[in-house]
Amino acid sequence: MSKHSTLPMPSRRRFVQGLALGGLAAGLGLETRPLLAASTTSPRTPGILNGADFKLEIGHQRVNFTGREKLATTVNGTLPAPILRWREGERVRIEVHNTLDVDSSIHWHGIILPTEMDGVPGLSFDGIAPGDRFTYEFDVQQSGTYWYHSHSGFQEQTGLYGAIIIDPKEPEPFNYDRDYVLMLSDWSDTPPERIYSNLKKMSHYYNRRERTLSDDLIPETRQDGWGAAVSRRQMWEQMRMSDRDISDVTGYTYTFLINGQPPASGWSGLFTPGEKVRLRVINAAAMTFFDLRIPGLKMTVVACDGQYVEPVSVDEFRIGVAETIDIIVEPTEHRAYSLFAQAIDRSGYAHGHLTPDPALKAIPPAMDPAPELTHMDMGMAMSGSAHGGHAMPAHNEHTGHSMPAAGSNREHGNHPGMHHEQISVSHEAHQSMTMSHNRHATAADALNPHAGHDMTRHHRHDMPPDPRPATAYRGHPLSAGMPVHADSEYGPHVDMRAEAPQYRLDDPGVGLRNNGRKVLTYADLRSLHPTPDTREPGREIELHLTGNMSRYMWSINGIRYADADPIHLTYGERVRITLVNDTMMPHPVHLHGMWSDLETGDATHLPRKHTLVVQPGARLSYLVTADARGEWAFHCHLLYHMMGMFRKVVVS
Amino acid sequence: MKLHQHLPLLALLTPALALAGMNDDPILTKLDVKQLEGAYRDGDARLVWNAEGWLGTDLHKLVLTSEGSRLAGRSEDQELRLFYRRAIAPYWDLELGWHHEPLAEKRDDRALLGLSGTAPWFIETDLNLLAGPGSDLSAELSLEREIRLTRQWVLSPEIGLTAHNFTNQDEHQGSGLADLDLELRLAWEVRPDLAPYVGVSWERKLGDSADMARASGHDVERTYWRMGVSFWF
Repeated sequence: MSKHSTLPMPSRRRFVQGLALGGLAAGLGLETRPLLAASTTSPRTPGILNGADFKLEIGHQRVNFTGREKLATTVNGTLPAPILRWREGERVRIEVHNTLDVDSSIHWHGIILPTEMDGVPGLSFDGIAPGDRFTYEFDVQQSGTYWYHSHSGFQEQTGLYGAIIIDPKEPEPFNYDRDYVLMLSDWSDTPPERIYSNLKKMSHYYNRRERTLSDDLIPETRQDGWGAAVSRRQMWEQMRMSDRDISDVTGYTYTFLINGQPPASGWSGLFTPGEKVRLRVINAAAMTFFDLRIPGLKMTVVACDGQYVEPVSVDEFRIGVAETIDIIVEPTEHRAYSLFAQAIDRSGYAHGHLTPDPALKAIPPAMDPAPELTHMDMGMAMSGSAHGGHAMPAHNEHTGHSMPAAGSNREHGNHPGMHHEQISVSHEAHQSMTMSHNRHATAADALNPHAGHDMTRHHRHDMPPDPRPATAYRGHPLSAGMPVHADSEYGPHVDMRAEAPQYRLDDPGVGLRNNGRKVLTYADLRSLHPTPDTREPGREIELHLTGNMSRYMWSINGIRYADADPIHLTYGERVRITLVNDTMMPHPVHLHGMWSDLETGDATHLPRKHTLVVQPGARLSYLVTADARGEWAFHCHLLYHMMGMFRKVVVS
Repeated sequence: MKLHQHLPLLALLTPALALAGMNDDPILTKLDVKQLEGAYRDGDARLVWNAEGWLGTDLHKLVLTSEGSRLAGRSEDQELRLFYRRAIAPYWDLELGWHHEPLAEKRDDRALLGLSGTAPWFIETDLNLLAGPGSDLSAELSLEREIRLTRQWVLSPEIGLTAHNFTNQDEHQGSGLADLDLELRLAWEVRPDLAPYVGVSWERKLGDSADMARASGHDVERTYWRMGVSFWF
């Protein structure tokens, strides 16, 4: 294990330079440079380990995020685990010592390697028994931002996750002065086994945002009348489902962390005004999707899941569990900026500071209103126009997908359930307007009482012209049409099946539609490099993500992992995988060992991903080249879904 | 090597171990004390309980329920049910088992066939058929819906009906509709698994059952004020 790398590395030098310029840093490099620490509230901040030989020790560590001391599962005593810094083209050797009294393992998420090094107990190896050591050794064939975590039990929930930074052989296609990891995660004082059994015994245990009389029905009845208020609930009530069912596990038990720091202490990253700051955002949460923005700053997305994409300028992005997104920001003012990552259900947020001075702290903005699901999120056919008529994101106006206003009004007329989201929209637009004043405000705006209306105009000026085609991807002709649900999808274990799942790559998702901000969508992603394998897929595998929320059962095609046959791929074949989400929540689906080339409509530059979020009631397709022999895991990365929503993939 | 895969009961004792083995459906137990309350009427204070315990998996459970009341340190009535609950539809379970009344003077065991689940509009539904000796049949229906007033205040109206196809003079059970039971509870949900409450219930005998009660000088209807707690783990 070498903490001080003596090898010359271009980006490493830039990295160190960034620290030197500011004179202060938090997060990266803390252990080796305690004097540079700006954020001293937590002694558990991870260090960086460089080089080719690493020694990791899995053990327990006392932590205190909520006022109560609890035991976390950690690597080398820190939460998150140390940042591992590798170099593309090198061979790394990582000796992992398990000091726990249960089996453990480490999986290198998104890393292309031989199956026996992948770290999935039962598939790649037997796991690491208590007291044992296992040495991982493989060639690093890629570069970018990745992460690692335990693949045993619920150890990921209790802290066993860390970042991986792989420096590229070739210079990166963008410049920056500073480099920070933003590792988002969710911590609970409740043991994960207990969370799981709570969900099995009462699936809405952690949902504290169910509709109530005082908050919803009475005010709505006053405003719109009894009939309208009741008819808005009719569909959900008849289906025995809740349009407020956004997350299974919420801020009711979770404290959301950035680099192991709760909002109260708030992780801080330093900058000097005018610098370019690279933020490597990793969602290491067990269950939480985050919506991240930095009020007052545009964020340029330069990489997704470690792979370069054509730069996209956005105000906000949603990051699914296990995804990574690299952004570059250029703070110009001498003030603290808020790193604000709201949980998708708005039950809490992770918060940190991007600040020129450790004494300057940013105040988090108010959270957005709690999102509500729509018919579209149930995979239901929309009367009238195609998908998303009602959900037409405001930013699409300037990307060219305009939707007739009449169409969207009609949708609202037909489906009063959406009325609510529409109400919240203007509110959100106003809110975001106030927050971006610092950056965008002109005298005219400040005087304009209807500042919200100016949002689109600002965007038109700020946004580079969008090079992508005006029509969003609607799927390959082969995968179009109504889904066929297998017999195995019918029974007590499956509570819904999408009737008309659509490709919704340009849908920002529930809670982000029409919020007046430019929100990243999958339709915005275009690989910087040409698609390496341009063959047409030889076949298509359609898989349905299924479950019964109220019984808390999860499966694929209605069959849980324990009862399922493996998926066989022929070595070397190019295959299309189409996922249909027959549930009401987004699932981040992760294929080990091979890249997933997301089909966005532009076959020449498919973005390469390791984890793909399938929106509720939607479908999504990607291409896989089966270029890695062996047994691989394929699963939903939500920790409490994974045991059922899992498949073994065999490439031979 | 992984014993718990072969001996499912071990999974109960070592949940962490079981899940490390990718078990999405461990054997769990739940004790659900739906009501543990004082019931007050005419200066009498009764202790009343209604609890259910189960052991099982997502789709198959072994269930033991106990209902009863005590007045002045003496048990008034009690019933025990032991049955197998099997999921048959996304929101519905079928139940098959045994009904026993420990205090009955003569042995009064009956077979139980039940359907329970959530009907549209979130109406918790419980329908039971009890088959006694000969062709004696009793039917019970209970419907309940939670109305969430605020995040923590929950109002639960409940309606219960029983009917028999036989007559039992001693118990004032007449053929046809026999009992109507309306209950209303207002709970303060401290946590999802702990809620103290106050409530009121109104019971009325119907048809032949009412006539029998009246003839023997018993009340036909009763109102109870209730105060208690529900919890589960």
